[in-house]
Order: sequence, then C-alpha cells, then structure tokens
Amino acid sequence: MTTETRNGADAARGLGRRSFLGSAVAGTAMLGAPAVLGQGRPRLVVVGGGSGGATVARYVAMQSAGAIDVTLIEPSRMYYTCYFSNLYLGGFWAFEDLAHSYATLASTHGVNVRHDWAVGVDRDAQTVALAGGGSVGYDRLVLSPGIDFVDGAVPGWDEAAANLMPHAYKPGTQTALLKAQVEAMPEGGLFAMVAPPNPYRCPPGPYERISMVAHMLKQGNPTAKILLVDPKPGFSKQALFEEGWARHYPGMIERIGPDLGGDMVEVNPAEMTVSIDGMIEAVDVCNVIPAQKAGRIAALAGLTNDDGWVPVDPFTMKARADAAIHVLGDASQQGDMPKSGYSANSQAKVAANVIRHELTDARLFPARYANTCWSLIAPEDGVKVGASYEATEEKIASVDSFISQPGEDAELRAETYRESIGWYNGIVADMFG
Amino acid sequence: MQRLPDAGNCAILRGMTCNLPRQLSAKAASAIALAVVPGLPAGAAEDGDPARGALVWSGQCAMCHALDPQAEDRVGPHLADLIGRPLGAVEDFPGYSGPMILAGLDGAVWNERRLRAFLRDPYAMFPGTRMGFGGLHDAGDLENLMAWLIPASRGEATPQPGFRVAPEVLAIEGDLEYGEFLAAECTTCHRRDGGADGIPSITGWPEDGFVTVMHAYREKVRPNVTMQTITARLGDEEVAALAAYFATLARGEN
Ligand SMILES: Cc1cc2nc3c(=O)[nH]c(=O)nc-3n(C[C@H](O)[C@H](O)[C@H](O)COP(=O)(O)OP(=O)(O)OC[C@H]3O[C@@H](n4cnc5c(N)ncnc54)[C@H](O)[C@@H]3O)c2cc1C
Repeated sequence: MTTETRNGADAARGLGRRSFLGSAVAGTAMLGAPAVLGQGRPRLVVVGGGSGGATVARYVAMQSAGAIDVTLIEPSRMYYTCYFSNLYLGGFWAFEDLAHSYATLASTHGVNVRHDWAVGVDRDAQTVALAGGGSVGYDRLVLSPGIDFVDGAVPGWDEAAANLMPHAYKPGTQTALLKAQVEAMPEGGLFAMVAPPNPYRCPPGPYERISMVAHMLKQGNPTAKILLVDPKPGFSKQALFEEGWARHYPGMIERIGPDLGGDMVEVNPAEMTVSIDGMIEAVDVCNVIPAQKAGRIAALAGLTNDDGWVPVDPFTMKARADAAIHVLGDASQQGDMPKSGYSANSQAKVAANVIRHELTDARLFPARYANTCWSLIAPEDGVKVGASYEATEEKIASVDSFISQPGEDAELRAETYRESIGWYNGIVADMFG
Repeated sequence: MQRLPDAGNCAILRGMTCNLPRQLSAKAASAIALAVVPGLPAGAAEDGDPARGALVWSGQCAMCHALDPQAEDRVGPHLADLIGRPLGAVEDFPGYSGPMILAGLDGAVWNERRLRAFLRDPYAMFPGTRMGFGGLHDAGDLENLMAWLIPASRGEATPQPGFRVAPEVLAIEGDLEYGEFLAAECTTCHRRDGGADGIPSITGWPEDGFVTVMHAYREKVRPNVTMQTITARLGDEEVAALAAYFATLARGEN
C-alpha cells in the first residue's frame, strides 16, 4: 500500500458530515491535498461494465474531463440489464429495451472500452491480464464483476444444465430462454423455481419473477401452477407479494419454505424433476437460482473471504485488502445495502469521488449511499422498498428506510409502477448516457 | 412565442413507442386524444369545500405555483386566470413538456373537466409531463381543491401562504462542487438531461423553488416516501448546494 493511498482512505474516513461542513479552513487543508501518482495521466482500469462499472467509468471520465485515463474492460458489446428482465418475462418490456451500448461512454466521455475478459490481477505490478492477450497497468483498479454461482449449491445443477433449467440471473439471453420455456408449457403444467439463499443479487427479484410468470400464465395457461421452493424462512417484501398473489393469482402459487423441506432440494435436468426433501416432482419448467458469490475475477485477484465476497471499506468502497482496488456492487460485502443495480450505482459515485481525489486534485466529499428496489406484482401494481445509508467503521449502515404498505390504493400502486419506469430510464442514462 | 419541442426528444412526436410499455402507451394515446379535443363541456365542481381545498393548495401546490402572474419565478407556471387559458401558454415559463405546449397550440384550453382529470392523474394525460406531482388520489381532496382553486385563480379568494422556507435558509449560498457530488445521488432516477417519464425532471429550477420543494419533502408535507427518506438526511447546506447545481442544468425537453 502506498502512503498516498493510505492518506486518501484516512481522509475519507475523517470526513464525517460534521467535519466537512464545520470549518472551511480545515476542510481546505484536508481536501486540497492531491496525490497524483507517477508521471503522465493517472490510469483507472474498470473491470465489468455493469451497474457499478459503467457508472464509475462514466463519472470519473466525465468529471475529470480527460485528466484521468479510463479503461473499461467488458466482454459484451451490449449490456442487458437484469432490472426489468422480469417485466420482459411478463410482457411489459421489450427484450431490445433491456440492451444498452457502450458507444457514448467511448465517444462522449473518452472511456477506452475494451471488449475482453480480465483473467488475472497482479496486485504488486498493478496490472490486469486480458484473455485476448497482454495486460493493462493501473494506478487505481475497480472490480465490479457482479456474481457467479456457488458450485454444487443445488445438487444436480451446474452451468452446463442452464439450457435445460435456466438461471436467468445474469445479464443476457437466459431470460429469453426462460420466457420461451414458459410459453411452451403444456396446459395446466407446472413451473418450478428454486430460490437462492441469502445473500444474493436483488432480494425481491425471484418473487417479482414469480409474479410475472403468474401474470403470463394467467393470460395464456390459467390452469398452470407455480411451485416456489425456497430455502429461506422469509423474503423481501413478503407481505406485499403474498397479498398480491392472493389477489391477482389466487390458487396458482405454492411456496415451500425450509419448514417443509425447501432447503433440501435437488434437481435432475435430464429428467426434468425436482426433489424436495426426497419427494420427487415432475416439472415442465425449472428456474434454478443457485447460491451466489463474487464474480470470479475477485477471487482470482485474491480479494475474497471464505464466504466468496470481497470485504470493503465503507468510506471508500476499497477492498479491505488492497487500497488501490475498489470493489463495487454485488461482489462487495459492505454491510446493509442489498445487492442491487441501484446500490452498485450509488457505491460507484462514492468510489469515483475518492478516485478523483486521490489521482487529481478533486475535492473529497463524505460518502453517502441510497437504494430503492421497485417490483411489479401485476399490471399497474408496483411496490417499492428503499433506504438511505451511511458509512461507519464496521459497515455501510442503514439510516432510514421505507416500504410500500399492504392495502394501498390502486392509484398509488400505479404511480409507484410509473416511478419504476422513470427510475429505469434514469439509471441507464446515468450509466450509459 | 412558445418554442416547439424537438421531435427527437419528444416521446409523443416519436409515437410513444420509446421506453414506455405498451399498456401505458395506449392509455397515453387516448388521453392525448382527449386533451386535444377542444371545447369539452365544463364539469361543475361538486360539493367541494373551498376551506379544505385551501389547505390542499398550501400543502401540495403553492410551493411550486403562484396565483399572482407577477410573482417571481417558481418551479411551475403561475395559475392566474387558469380556466379558459390555453394549455402550456404562460409566456415566459420554460418548463412545459412538449405535448402540453402542442395541445395548447391545437386549441386545448383549461376547463374544469380537464383540470380535474389532470390533477387526478397528470401522467395519464401527459406521460411526459414535467409537473413533479403524482396526482391527487383522494377524490375529496380533489373536489375541495377544485372548489378553492377555480375562484382563487380568478382572484376571488384570499391568497394562501402555502409552505414556505425561512428567508435565512433561502439565503444560504450553495456550494456548487458539493452540489455536483450530491446530485449524483439524485441522477440515479432524475435525469441530468431533464427528461422525465415517471420520475419528475428537476433540472433548471429556480433555486428558491428547489429549496422549498426539498424542505417540503423533508418536513413530510409533500408525499412520496422515497423523497421523504432521501431528504431526511439532507442538511440546509446540502439542499442549497443541490439547488445551486441543478439550477445550472438546462430544463431539458420532452
Ligand atoms: C431478475 C433480476 C431483477 C433485478 N431487478 C433489479 C431492480 O429492479 N433494481 C435493481 O436495482 N437491481 C436489480 N437487479 C440486480 C442488479 O442487476 C445487480 O445487482 C447489479 O447489476 C449489480 O451490478 P454489478 O456492477 O455488481 O454487476 P453487473 O451489473 O452484473 O455487471 C457485471 C459486469 O461485469 C462483467 N464481467 C464479469 N466478469 C468479468 C471479467 N472477468 N472481465 C471483464 N468483465 C467481466 C459482466 O460481463 C457484466 O457486464 C436485478 C437482478 C436480477 C437478476
């Protein structure tokens, strides 16, 4: 760890709201110390062009106006958002509308976009190795690789089985496959979901998906049934979802929690069966969402803990183990924030400010975070949950939170749904605009 | 003269297909059709209680709208002599959405029926509306407001003060750079280019208006739990910084 980076992290830590607002003089002394490293333009390398990575690349490039050389490494030419992929399943959103290009990041903001995989990080030499050959050096590195699945989490399932039993839980074509399978279900057939244990990306995501599949089936296959096999005793927005399911899809959805063996599940993709605590059930579609861990590159960089996530410093989003590397979004273990696109986007802005402060003379401001997750239960029936967060020594801690209430009037639910559309268009503009 | 919106930025002119789901588009299309039919009969305000309506006005409307045409800039246009006035037609007001201006140019005027429908669900009538208000869902509140607003708009009621922020708070000078940092928290939802479709546009607002609206959320005078939570931890300096920063961005068009 260089002295410069340690100073930067300490400055961010000392920067509580009170000390920031308290004294302009002290503030200037503390904030005004740039820590430009080496010669030439300082280099930021970002691995992963999703919610965290695209945001941090865009903000650093846009706000440093060329003073920092920004390289974004991302294998895909288009980013397909996971958010609203459930709405695509339900028929409320077009598949193409999930896709976003990196063109503006390159053309307007000067980000050097390299469509390649990062396959290794040499933390001593400060270089990232690329699958296409060669490596890129960095002064600061951001990893925002999203998630990978824990091997063997659902016995019988591995990624090779994802053609038969899709996860549809990473950006891309898996969701289209799942939709096609639901459309091809026989009349009165059975859709099963194996839900993941905590922690996983998008806590309400599986349950919004259940809602959207139910909506699809209600239109075209109303006698079909949905079996939700869940290892968790409870889940996000449970009261809201269950109220909505009873109202919009009565008798269609059955949830098997851990009390009934929901945590003892195996699948057989070749036979299309699910075994729940030894009871074998034949299914027509099976959406397996396995347990999760940080995207592989985080482990290759040697930053993950025993649980497979990267512990980060709440004030800076730096990996606790390496002050030259920030880890954002799903891959990070930061405390109370859910793993969501909104969270990753929020964390990226704190990291961008710290990076600009350390690499140029930009002012450092106190970290602040927020999240809201909207979910659609049925047409015009939107709900939300959210919170604001602050950095503490131990973790990113929730300050204040809110959640939609059961029994809200239809107009408020419609307004909440509309808000979610505005949010979607807002966040993708904030990442790719 | 009103500027015509650029077709490229105007959802209506592009045929409403852009990012709105089909359902909303269909609803929107019929609402627009309604909006441009001139000469709808004026529905009468039924049984509204103007005294209660005055409270709705001061709690929900007056932080952005004045009744006095000479009032200094607010976030929204003044509402003097509203009934009979074409839509989107206050001469110097820069914040209308394109579709509202177009409806006005096509001859649509504010009558009671149209006003009631707009206040009940502004987005249903104009999906790109730049009015940051989700609608008055309570039928009683709506009728009460109508009963107060229509005469008040003609100058026939005592002006209501509405929610106001102390002058010393309005006088705080915003720190632009801090505002730019803080604004990043807002732009996850509120677009920097001023576009609005389901989340209000907040760019190019007069600073005092911005501060007033944020304080109204913080005091929970304005509804919306997300904004109440976000503003709960904004200090006066932070609100001032945000107001200063967002005032530097163009209003945007849609
Ligand atoms: C069904 C579903 C619904 C959801 N709905 C919402 C919602 O409504 N709201 C919300 O806020 N969140 C939602 N989420 C969660 C959200 O998608 C994630 O939390 C968020 O995208 C995480 O951001 P990230 O940057 O960590 O990872 P991602 O956005 O997944 O981005 C990771 C990127 O890294 C790239 N990458 C990975 N490894 C490498 C490598 N070695 N080299 C180069 N590139 C690499 C990947 O290609 C990918 O583009 C939803 C998720 C799902 C599955």
